[in-house]
Amino acid sequence: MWDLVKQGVSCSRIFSTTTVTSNSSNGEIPSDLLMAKKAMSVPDRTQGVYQDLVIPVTNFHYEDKGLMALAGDVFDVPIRKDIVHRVVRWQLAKRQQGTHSTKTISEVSGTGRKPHPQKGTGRARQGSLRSPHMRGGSTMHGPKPRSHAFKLNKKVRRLGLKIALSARAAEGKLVIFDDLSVPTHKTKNIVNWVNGLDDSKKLLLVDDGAINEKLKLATQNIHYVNVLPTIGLNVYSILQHDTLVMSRAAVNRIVERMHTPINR
Amino acid sequence: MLRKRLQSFFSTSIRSFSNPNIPSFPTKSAIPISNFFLKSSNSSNICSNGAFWGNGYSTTRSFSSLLSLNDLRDNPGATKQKKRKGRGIGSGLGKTAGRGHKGQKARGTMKFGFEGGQTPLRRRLPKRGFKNPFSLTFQPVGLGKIAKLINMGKIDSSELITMKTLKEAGAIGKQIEDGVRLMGRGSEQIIWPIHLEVSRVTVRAKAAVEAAGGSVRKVHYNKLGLKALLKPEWFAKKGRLLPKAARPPPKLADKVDSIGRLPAPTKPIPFVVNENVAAAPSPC
Repeated sequence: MWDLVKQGVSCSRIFSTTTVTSNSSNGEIPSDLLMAKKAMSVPDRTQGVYQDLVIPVTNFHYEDKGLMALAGDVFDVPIRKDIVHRVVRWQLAKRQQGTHSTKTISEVSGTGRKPHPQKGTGRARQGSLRSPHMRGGSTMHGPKPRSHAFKLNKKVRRLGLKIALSARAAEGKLVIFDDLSVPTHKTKNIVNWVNGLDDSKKLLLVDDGAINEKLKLATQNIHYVNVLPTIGLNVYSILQHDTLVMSRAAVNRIVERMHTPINR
Repeated sequence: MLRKRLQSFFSTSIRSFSNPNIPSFPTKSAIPISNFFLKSSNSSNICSNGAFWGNGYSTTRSFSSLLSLNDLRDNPGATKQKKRKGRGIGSGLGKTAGRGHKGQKARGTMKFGFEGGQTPLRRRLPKRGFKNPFSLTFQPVGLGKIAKLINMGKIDSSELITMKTLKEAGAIGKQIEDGVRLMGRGSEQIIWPIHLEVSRVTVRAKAAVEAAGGSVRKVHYNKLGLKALLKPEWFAKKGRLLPKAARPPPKLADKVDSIGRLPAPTKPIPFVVNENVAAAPSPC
């Protein structure tokens, strides 16, 4: 509603009974007015046809460095949310520490003596002072330290990565840089660069090989910019950040990795 | 007048959508997706057609990204809830938890298949037969499948089709136990002459292939020979030579036409009218 105010529609119009957005058929408000983020525009090509893409290459100074072709079988696979869901669940499960522990009746400190005879006293029958129904007793079926990791097929994990990359490419949030080199380790250069971008809240920079120390220092203190080497590229990190910035070398490394067969 | 205000709002919003990142990057070759919509893609559409406004948004949803962490789910039917017994009336499995009322089965476990002392079913029925250690299992493959693979281009019909080519083309799968049996399903699709070397053929399949002008030869491979045919690199890796092809044992001699050749042959041996067919190896 305030968008409309900014656009110049007067408040009286908005509060009037003939409201701005009413269709007499249904009372739904157009969804683009409901969202703070920009919605995506209508596409002009179908996604997921394994078509090679062409992306312009740029760098930290917004210069145009030419174009780059991206392999279609890595950057244009059909989007399968269920596969990405499985991969993300696998990633989050395997990172769980699993150091939760409770004491069973054998571990709770205390005697094993039967508190009072089975029959004769008018009380309920009790076998142990540390039964689960007693105060100070053990926990029944409680958690024990264990690993929460489970196996996920390597080919599924690989496909998940391809889908994540394709999704970012399809939204237009994949940026290719010529190289991720920065002149100094000053954080404010990176901050200024991010401010110059439109519509990116969290950025993931992916570089090949050892990451430049200056870049590492410059981005260390910014919580919305993260740097990863290509080995560390994973689905969860891609999904956490809305924009993915990769260097040419990183892209080539990833495509090469996706094309080498998984051997036993 | 109201409509004019809204049209101006819309045209500005659409202009901003089409050039999202002008200050930062040069505009990309637009790579958007078909199932995301903002129906007002064409501003002229809105300006001209007032009725469009009414129908535009009843069913669409727009997202800010294709894949985000808050929008992930598995396919419906992928997970099924466990049966939790003994957790209240509403679950349908409370109180007796699916065990009925009283009795030994309700109070403990009874061995599966126990019938209370009556001779159980598995002892009432007679035993039958034996397992033949020398029986051979052949993987069936239909002529229709071979025809389909030839049409797809995965099998070269000018060369001899052996069990190795069938496995590599994907006609059979990865497990070939003792050989391949050629069956007749889809035999009407064979119209060109093809030459095959397989372990067994059915009568009709053979007739269909011969009617088209081709030939089928039944060859014998033992287990080692079949491995040498399908995976000669296993022998090379171990540093062994390929084994000599074994003759069929006398029992199976009349079921086959000739001994299989190693390594995998490429030219068919033509059938000669007289019975003394020497399996002279043609150039492989």
